[in-house]
Amino acid sequence: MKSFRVKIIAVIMGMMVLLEGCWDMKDINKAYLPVVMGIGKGSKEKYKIILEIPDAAGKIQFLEKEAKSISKAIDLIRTDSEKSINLVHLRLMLFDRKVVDDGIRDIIDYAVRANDISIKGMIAIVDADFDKTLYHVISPTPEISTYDFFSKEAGWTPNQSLVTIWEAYRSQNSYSEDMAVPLLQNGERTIYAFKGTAVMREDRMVGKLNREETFLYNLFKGNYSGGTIEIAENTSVLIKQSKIKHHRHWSDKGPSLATDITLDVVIAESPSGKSNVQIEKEVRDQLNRNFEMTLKKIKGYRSDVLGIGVMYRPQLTEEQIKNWKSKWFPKLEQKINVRVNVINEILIKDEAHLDQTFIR
Amino acid sequence: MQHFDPEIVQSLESGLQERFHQRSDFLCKHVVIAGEKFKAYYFRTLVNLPKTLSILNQIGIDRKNDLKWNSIHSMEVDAPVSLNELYNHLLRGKLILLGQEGFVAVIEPEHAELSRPVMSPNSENPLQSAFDAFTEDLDTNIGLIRKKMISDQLVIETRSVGSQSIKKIALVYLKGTTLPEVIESVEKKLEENAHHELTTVRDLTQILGHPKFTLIPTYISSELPEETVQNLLNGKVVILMDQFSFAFAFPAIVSDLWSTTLDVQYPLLFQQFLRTIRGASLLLSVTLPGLYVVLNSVNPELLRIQLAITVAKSREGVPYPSLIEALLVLLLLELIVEATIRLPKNIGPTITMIGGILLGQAIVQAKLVSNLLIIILVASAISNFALTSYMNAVGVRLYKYVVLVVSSIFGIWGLEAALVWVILYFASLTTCTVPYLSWSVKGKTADE
Amino acid sequence: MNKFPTIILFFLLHLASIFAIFPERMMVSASKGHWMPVAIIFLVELLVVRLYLKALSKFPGKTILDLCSDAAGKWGARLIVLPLLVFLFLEVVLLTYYLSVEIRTVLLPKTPTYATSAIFVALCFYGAWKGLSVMIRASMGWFILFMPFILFSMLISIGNFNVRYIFPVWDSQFSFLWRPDFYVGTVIFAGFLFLGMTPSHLRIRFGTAAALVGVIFLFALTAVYVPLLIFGQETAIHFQYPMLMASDTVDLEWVVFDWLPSFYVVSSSGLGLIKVAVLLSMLMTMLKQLYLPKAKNRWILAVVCLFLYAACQWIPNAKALDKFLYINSCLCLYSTIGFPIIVYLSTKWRRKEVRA
Repeated sequence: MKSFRVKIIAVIMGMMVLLEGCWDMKDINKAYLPVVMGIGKGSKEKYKIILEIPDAAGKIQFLEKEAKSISKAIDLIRTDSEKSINLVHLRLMLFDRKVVDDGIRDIIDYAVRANDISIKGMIAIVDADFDKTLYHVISPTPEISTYDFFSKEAGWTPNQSLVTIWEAYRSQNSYSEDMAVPLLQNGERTIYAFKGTAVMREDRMVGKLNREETFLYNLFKGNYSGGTIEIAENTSVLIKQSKIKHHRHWSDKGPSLATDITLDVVIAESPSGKSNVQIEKEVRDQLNRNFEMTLKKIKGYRSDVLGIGVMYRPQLTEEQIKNWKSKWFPKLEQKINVRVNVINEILIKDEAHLDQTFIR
Repeated sequence: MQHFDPEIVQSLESGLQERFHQRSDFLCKHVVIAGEKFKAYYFRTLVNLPKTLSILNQIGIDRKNDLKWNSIHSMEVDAPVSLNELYNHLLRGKLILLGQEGFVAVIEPEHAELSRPVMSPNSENPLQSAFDAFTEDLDTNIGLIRKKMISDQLVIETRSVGSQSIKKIALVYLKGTTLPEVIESVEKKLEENAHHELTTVRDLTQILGHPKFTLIPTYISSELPEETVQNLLNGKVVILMDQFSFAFAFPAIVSDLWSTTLDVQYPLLFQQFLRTIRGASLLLSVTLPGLYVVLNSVNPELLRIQLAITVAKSREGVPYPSLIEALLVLLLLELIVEATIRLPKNIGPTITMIGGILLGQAIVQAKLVSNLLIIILVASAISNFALTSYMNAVGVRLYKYVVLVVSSIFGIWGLEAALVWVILYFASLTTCTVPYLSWSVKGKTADE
Repeated sequence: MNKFPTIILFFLLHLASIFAIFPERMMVSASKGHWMPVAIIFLVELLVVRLYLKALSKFPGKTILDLCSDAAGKWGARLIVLPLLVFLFLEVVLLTYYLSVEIRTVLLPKTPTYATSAIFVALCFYGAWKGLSVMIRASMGWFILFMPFILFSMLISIGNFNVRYIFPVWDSQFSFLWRPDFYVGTVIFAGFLFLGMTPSHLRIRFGTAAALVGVIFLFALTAVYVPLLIFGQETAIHFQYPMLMASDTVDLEWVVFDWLPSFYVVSSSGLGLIKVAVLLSMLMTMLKQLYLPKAKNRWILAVVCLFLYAACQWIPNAKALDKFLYINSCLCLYSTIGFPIIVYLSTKWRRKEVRA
């Protein structure tokens, strides 16, 4: 009798759980899974949020609302949409240039704080007509090409910069680093076209690097996987491998950094008659020149996008790290020395024509 | 063979007559053996009288020298004291001879042909081993084991259990290999519950004092003497039941879920591979349906976006939540499995085809369930049958539902909780003094 | 006589703290040279474990409770054990609360905490009810089931490391010694107390324990440094669950699943389960042996679990959790450092008495 009663109670408890339970049960086809979120300036309110929702057929659905805060806007979208909105698969946040001018700290904080947004998503700035870029659709679109654009496994090239939400959050809080955010615009045949890199100081955009400069930026950061350098007409080399070595010095005047970059390149295109030695020299000179200019430009922005402060961390005390951006970074002396090594593994021999003349 | 007062014999006779008078196969015949007259009492269906008589006639009955009797094949002389014992002997197929001068003998006669010969197994498909299987006859079975395993350490104890109907069982173990505690606990339980009725396997486990509700069988049953020998070598106690063509090895431990004893016939690497596969299939068959619900409705963030979109597409238009969907198809699947098990072998494939192909195809096209679900559930069912024995598979099949329900409420946390509970349950399970989570029955190590 | 499961349980109980509470406290307690507080904690643990095991090895077959009541009498033992009991209870409550909140935030945002913690407490009840030796046996299953997840969620984010965030490595002032968070980190000690309650044939020697502490030290270091190397100290202190965030930074194509923090929560809650269950069964044994010898195990446990469940519902927010963690750290220091020393001393006394 007693055990019977216990059983009854157990059954009732179980039923209660079952009947009341399933709090989180929401079938996957009953929710929109947006992949891209555009954050622009609203016409009436502070933010305009645009969500891009792909479906398996390759179509993209757009949902848009304006509100004073992002979560409110999403709430409004949710109210009007026929399915619920699940942000867990959000992979790209696009900021309007105008929003960035007001600072993106709050937005990044929101993205990190929201527990349904993965912090491995990317951020980028739209440096063109915001609506046009967001609503730009090329058909037929494979469902996730917006994400693939930045994926290192898919469409990323060293000419693009890339920054994830967590990196942005880190740079925002870091004493020794600033972030560089890619600038996008709608493409002609592709979804986006890469326009360059925004140099941020804290959470404001202070300058812009063009595509070549972005390439150098990536080279310096070591984010490297294959890419071409064009030297003169008809001459370009393909970078196979790059080695970067930083020599740090710290004197009373401040930090000074000498960076050796060794590039293993193969010749992709060259006019006949140009020897490897010559190409080597040209590449070296050009890269050195370009680097110098880029570094100067970045330093002019007073933004440590290259993360040099992090390199100095071993030598700094806690106090000095805290003052890095304000005190030490402006005093930084920076030199770059590029070395180029032509490894010829592409099908044509360098000295072949010499042999031919010899035979003649 | 014993001499009694003729009066007692008289009373025995009448007792026998009375007790069995409605049994049409019970006979009393006057026979002449070696020139002497006897009354033979026996069951016609169990005893081959003409043959027995001819053998008896050949030897003749020596009233004085009992030893001679014992030395003869298939003959046994006993000392019946009470009527009850006589009944038992009769029911076990013995022949009772009552002579003049109060002569009573119980003789092991030639039996009627009731047992089938040793054949190849019906419910198991060994790949690389001996192909003979146990039959119904206890002695044959013991003989099979003896033949497979020539060892003086092999102990065989025969006992009879039951009060209403009596069942002969044999307790077989290897001395020195099997842990003394195990043998002791089994013997103790058999002793204690000797009067329980024993007709089914469940009775046997109850007699051995195993818990009534277990998720996994506490024994391994096998039809193959070869496997039984391996079980013995692994330190298990084997119980053979008369008229039951399976041997039961006690206690089962966790590794029996994924290893069969016949694995040792393969090269070591293959054996490891096969066991890994089975271990994986165990995990898969328990978790897959639950995982489907988790990924589909509670924690869709676990899916990659590419997959999420296709899954969402495949569920588009399915009217009910994924738990109900999964339960429906699971029910259907169980029906197919149950339907095919007892069907004659030549109809089975038809059902499989109708159920599997036609219904599966139709149900997806009718948008009643998503096709991903069908894939998942079939994978789960297949991995279920990759487990070593049907008995194990049933427990896993059952627990799958628990996992399913819990994970539909609590998502991946529920799934985890269900698995944790199973581990705790396994850890707390102890049969015949051996914890379920042991590497082997031989050593004392305990773990999974 | 296989002690392997005991070793595993020892390991898992420590990992449980490493996957909850410990790393973030260590990160907050020092602004640089984080390995130092971790190393100090483990050195202390080594010392205490040595005393504890030494005391136990002198009297094989006796649990710490026997030792205490032999040395100090029944009431003395009750007095000695009382703070330990409170500590165990608080620790269990805090861990349960912490994990249910973690589960709710990451896995089940809409499910109320009372439901998730109900399952949690029910499982721990079941485990503790079955007893310590069952838990020891089950720890192997745990190991096999959760170790892949543990290693996975610890090491998956290696690609995002920036080694230079390790600096500065030396804190010459030992400033962490003055931070209460450092002492909260001592909850990790609770993992060795169970050794005093096991049947004596399952006890491990000091050498093994020391080696284990070494391995665990490595894990603890990894747990502290993974978020540090990814986010840098300045950022990492902003996070409630730094390890969780660290595992969210990973995006690898070959990983079939997408939301990797889930795996962190799975392993962390799994480890939490075993820890709470073991501590509960210790609590039960102590209550039964010293205070309520007449009550049935099951009922003691049921009451304790009810209190545990109620207390979990009662904690209002993370701030309260913090406050209790600080309170608990004093008790923790007593139970994990003071108590083993008392046990050790009491065995010394007893030996003298025996000799005299």
